[in-house]
Amino acid sequence: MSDTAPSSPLPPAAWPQRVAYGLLLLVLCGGAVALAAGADAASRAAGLRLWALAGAGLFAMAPPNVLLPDPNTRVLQLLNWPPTRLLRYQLGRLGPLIGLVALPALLIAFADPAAPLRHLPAKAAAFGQALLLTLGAATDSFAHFATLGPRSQAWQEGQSGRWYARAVEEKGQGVSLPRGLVPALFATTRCFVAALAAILVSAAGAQAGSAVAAWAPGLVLLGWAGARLWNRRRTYDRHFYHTTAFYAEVMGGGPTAAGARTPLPYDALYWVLPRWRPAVWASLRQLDRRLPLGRLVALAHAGVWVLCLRGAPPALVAAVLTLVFVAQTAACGLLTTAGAAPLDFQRTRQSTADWIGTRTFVNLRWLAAHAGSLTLVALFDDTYGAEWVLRWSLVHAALSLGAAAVATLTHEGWGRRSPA
Amino acid sequence: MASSLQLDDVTKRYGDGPAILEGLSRTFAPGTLTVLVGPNGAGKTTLLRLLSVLSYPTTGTVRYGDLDVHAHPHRYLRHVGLVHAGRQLPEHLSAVEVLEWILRSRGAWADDAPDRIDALLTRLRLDERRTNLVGTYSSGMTQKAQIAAALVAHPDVLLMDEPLRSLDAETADATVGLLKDFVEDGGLAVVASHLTDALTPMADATLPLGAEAPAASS
Repeated sequence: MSDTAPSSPLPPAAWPQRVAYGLLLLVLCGGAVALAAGADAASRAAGLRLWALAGAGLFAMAPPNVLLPDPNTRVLQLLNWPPTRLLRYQLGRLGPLIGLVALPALLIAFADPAAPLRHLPAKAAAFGQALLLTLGAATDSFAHFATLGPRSQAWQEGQSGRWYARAVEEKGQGVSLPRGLVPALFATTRCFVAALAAILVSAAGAQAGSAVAAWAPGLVLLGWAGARLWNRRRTYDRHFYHTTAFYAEVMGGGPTAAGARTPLPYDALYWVLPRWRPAVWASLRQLDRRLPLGRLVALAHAGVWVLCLRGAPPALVAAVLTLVFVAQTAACGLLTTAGAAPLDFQRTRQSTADWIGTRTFVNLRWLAAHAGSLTLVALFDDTYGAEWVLRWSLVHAALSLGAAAVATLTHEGWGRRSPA
Repeated sequence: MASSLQLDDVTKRYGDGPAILEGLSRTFAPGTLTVLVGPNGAGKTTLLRLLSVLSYPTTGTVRYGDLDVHAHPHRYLRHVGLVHAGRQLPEHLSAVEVLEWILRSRGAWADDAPDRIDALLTRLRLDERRTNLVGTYSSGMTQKAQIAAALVAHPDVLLMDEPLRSLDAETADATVGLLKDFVEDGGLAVVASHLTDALTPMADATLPLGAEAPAASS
């Protein structure tokens, strides 16, 4: 017997995932350093608030996709961890996301090679406020999503949200999602609005020279979310199992529903190479049932337009675009879960190289939408032009291929196609 | 000594589809083995998911003694051993390490634990490869490790979904023997299986599910 028992059920992340995360962090940190180069303290503070806003968008969307359904539930049942440990475990899984926002924020605040000690108190204050807002947004979102199970199940099974069901049936209104995911969509909006309000009040306080008003919103948001989690720490097992049970039922692991949306027709994929078209079609149908990616892409581009209209520095726009493109292409990772892509089945369908090609096209589905949105920006803003649009289109194509390769090599590995 | 596990007017539906289970009331008593029977899609796995807190009922409650199991999963799961269908154990640990981890995590580690683990794995005929990583196991060996993981902490309640699947004849006999001992010691077992020949003779009750089942059985 070993001297020490393992402390975590999580298998270590595969190296392609670690490399991908490291690269993403590197790109964001590089963007942050470029953004901060030569900036004065006030510009850094403004940049940090905009970065906190991008982070709020990330935290409003990512937690249900990162945390739920928990892949280790059955092992966790065997171990039967107490509620407080389950809470720590799930909070820990949010850590890498927080790192993606907090580390670039640190660089935006302090990366100043020419005069690292200049305006240090002002830089520290701006960073502290942004960090509080980021942690507040992350914790608030976690507290909301991690306890959403009962409400989502009630919606899914028709016990709640009848007004919504009536609107869908009578007027054809509504979103193309399983009904039980609608509360999560509301939660996304609610979490983003709460964080946005805190960031705006903090910004107004900083501009008015009120330290209390600048610090208080982040503290209040973090304290409020922390208090909610504290109150639930002894009953967190119920929230954990209920929420993960619901997501397992809707996302896979239990009987799944196709949802009300008209599924993607095969012929709509005329732009995909015929060799990969069947697998792209099957992949996109699965992905559409997991994630309303089109709406999220539209929301992200609305954010980019707002940034450009406000005259945000090109480096910040570049950082946000990188985040949007990486997040969108990373979504193909949802197609590599055991439920979506059973390994033996995958290997009998086609080779690893073919799966990379398939998932590249899955990611390229949004290339035209991205290019169209950026073309609109270029038309109305002299800062950007056709070359900028072309460059970002190439970046998207490269990221599509890169994300597909990482996801596929992580899941299907290097193996050759097995005989059917 | 186990308490009773009681379903009270439990209904479960997925989305707005038809109910998989409707108005089901049933008491599973300590010292009994109940075999869930029914065709594919009858609700056997759904019922086991409800009993193991992997699913929450649309209406109704499941109680273990006085405990609402869905309101207090951690307190309930202290008493429960689980064998779900499919692979569920971490692939980068050996079977021995998995069992050790479960015992330590549940605060049930004792000086004689290594011997008990050895005895359990020997009875389940998991040979010297018990120290190999679970990810290298065949489906039958994985199933043996999962049965051992369910039993190692001496649960009061045993919930098993197709426990005999993939097992060779001798291990299936050993598993049936373990189940028999468990029930004779006062344990409460609920098992879903299509291999009813091996289990029905020792079962205290069968619970038919699906089209032929009564709307509410007790």
